Amino acid sequence: MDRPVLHRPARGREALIGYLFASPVILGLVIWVMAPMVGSLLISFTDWNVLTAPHWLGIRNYVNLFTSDLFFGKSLVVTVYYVVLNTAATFLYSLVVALLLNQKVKGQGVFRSIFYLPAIVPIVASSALWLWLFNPDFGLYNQILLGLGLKKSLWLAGPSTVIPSLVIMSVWGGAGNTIVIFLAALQGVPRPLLEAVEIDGGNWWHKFWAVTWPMISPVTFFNLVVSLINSFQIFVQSYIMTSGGPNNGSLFYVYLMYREGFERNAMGHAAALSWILFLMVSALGLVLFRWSREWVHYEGAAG
Amino acid sequence: MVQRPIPVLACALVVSLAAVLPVGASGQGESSGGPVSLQYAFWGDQNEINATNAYLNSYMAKNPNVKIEALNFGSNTQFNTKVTTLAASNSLPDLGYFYEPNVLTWGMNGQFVDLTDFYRNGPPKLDALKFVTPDGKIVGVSVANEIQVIWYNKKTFDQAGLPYPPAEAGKAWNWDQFVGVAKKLTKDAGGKGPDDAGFDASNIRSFGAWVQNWWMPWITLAISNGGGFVSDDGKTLLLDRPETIEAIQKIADLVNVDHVGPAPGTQQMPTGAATALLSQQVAMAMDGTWDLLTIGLTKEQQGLDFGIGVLPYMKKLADASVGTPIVVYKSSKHIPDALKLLQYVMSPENSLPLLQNGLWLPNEKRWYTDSALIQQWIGNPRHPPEYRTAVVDFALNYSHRLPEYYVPTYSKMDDIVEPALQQVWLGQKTAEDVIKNEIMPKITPIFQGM
Repeated sequence: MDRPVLHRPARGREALIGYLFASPVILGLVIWVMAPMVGSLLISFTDWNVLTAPHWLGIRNYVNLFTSDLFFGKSLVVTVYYVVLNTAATFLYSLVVALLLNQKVKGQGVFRSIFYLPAIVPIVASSALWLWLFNPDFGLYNQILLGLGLKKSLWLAGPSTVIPSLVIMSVWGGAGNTIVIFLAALQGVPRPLLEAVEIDGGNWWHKFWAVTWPMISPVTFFNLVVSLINSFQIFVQSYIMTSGGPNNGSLFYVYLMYREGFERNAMGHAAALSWILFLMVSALGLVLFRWSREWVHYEGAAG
Repeated sequence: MVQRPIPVLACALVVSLAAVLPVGASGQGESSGGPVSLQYAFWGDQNEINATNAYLNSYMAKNPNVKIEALNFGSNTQFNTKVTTLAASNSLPDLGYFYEPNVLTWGMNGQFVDLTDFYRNGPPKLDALKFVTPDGKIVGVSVANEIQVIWYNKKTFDQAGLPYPPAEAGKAWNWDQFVGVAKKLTKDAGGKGPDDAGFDASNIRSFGAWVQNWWMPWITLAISNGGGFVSDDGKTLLLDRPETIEAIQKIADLVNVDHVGPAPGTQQMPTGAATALLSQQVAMAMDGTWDLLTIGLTKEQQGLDFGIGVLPYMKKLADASVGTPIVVYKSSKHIPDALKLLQYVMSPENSLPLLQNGLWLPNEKRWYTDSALIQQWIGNPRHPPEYRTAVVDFALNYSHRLPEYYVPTYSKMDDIVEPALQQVWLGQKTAEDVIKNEIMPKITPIFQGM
């Protein structure tokens, strides 16, 4: 009878309850994500070193990065090299392993566990282990190389071999998650389509290229984006294993940021570095999303 | 029905606000006059934690009105992140350890109490341990002294039938003698040494000498050769002197020319000198006196029969000192009480356990000359008999000051020097090439800009 009057207060109260329950997350986002981002942007325009009051520098920090900074260029090159190599290696390795783990063989569960296990080893612990494996004089890998009649490698100690070595370590540890996601996608490929290819006389390659690959393309795209973004953030290996060396061969971007900000107290400089990283990764994300329209097929979408 | 949710709402509101509001920062001490609360910052392994708590507790027992909160900051690299964060939130501790590369920059920024007058009284501290700003203010003194020695495995020498490295300054080897002995102790997988025909340099099983590639060894040996990094008055760079270049080249040659050292890298022999000696992968390791703790334990628990020798010299006997300083923060609300605690902590007699277990050397001159004090320090099974001449006497007579104690731009310059020198350690470029063409152009403006 009084329906319209009853409805309005009820809706208003419900909305209020909704907002209140969402408030912890929203406040958290604002206080601990957005506000610090704005703060770091402001700091990047100053020369703040924590100990004295900051002075406004305008865009001088950014200009310095591109003109007089001694480490920015090298760090960028080294980081991009790692990102490309690591993403490609992890992607290929995970896809191949996932395809294999999708085969119906005895002990499938055991194999899947084995390949996932490295993903849960804490990175600090595995860093200590890999240091020994990679040790040029007494490490296992060089002993294997010698045993095969090959020359020893410097692994982490060589400026040109340090990044491939870190990629090997990262693929071992990071592939687990990617494999699991690929596996889930592979299991979603409808059997009838694969059988259709068989009937038409296709082999495993045709099955993969014509059916599997397009069907898992959304997940492939996801893995690609996540892997790229994560690779940009590599830090622990530099911090613990190589200290950015040899000869800045592993002076990764985030490690440089950390060093400038927290060991040299050059907060403005470090903040500027962080915003450039943000812009780079955002631009990369945009490019990827545009490109994905070419080859990612979402189920139910047109084309 | 519709009224019911209000208490739930109120609880949700309170909980969400509590979760979101920042928790109060660690408290500053109350204003003085009665009970005093001090925060003492430090870092170290379990052994150092125990010893630190012990001497802080005994101080509190003697001074019942003082309550000391010991803040363990994990490690020296983690320390800097934490102290920077504390500085930004104006909640620095009252006193404590400080990360050596930043002592002078923070000191020149007015963060620390000027301790020049404080150290004018009392038993004199070793000069090499004083952190001095360019205008002559002492902002901190190392709580402990550390120099370098040659650690060796006696069994390796016995097996080769060679005499042990000398433990007295007067009998020290020169560099060529040192390399000669190292060559006799280096064996490849076929048992051949570097001077034998058919020696396979890529398959060495045990190395004669391990000299690490960080700044303490090369600056020490550069000083020994008549060079250095920065002159003692802080005004001239000595890195491009021929003597310095020669010293650095000789260290690099240990690996690439003499073939007596393990492959260079920032993390060589990841488990440290004790294990490298025990496993006989290395016959002699040039490393700091702090190793006595782990090497001594390795002897007691695993039977490593170790010995200590003095450093070899190039042109003159030389060693160098390092040690974490204790600073007093100007932001402290209890500076007089902090200074009293500083006095206590800086006195070697109050940190005897750390001296006796081999981790620390004393920071006061009289502990190197007074027999009774020396006996208190080294008269225990952990310290072998040759410690007296190889460490105590050598430190007193030959230890030099390192740049981090008096050159504020040192850590910024080191960011450039260390990576560039890695090319030299790897044998990819000569020391002369790297220092003159790559390093000097970049560090000269930094050095002069101070």
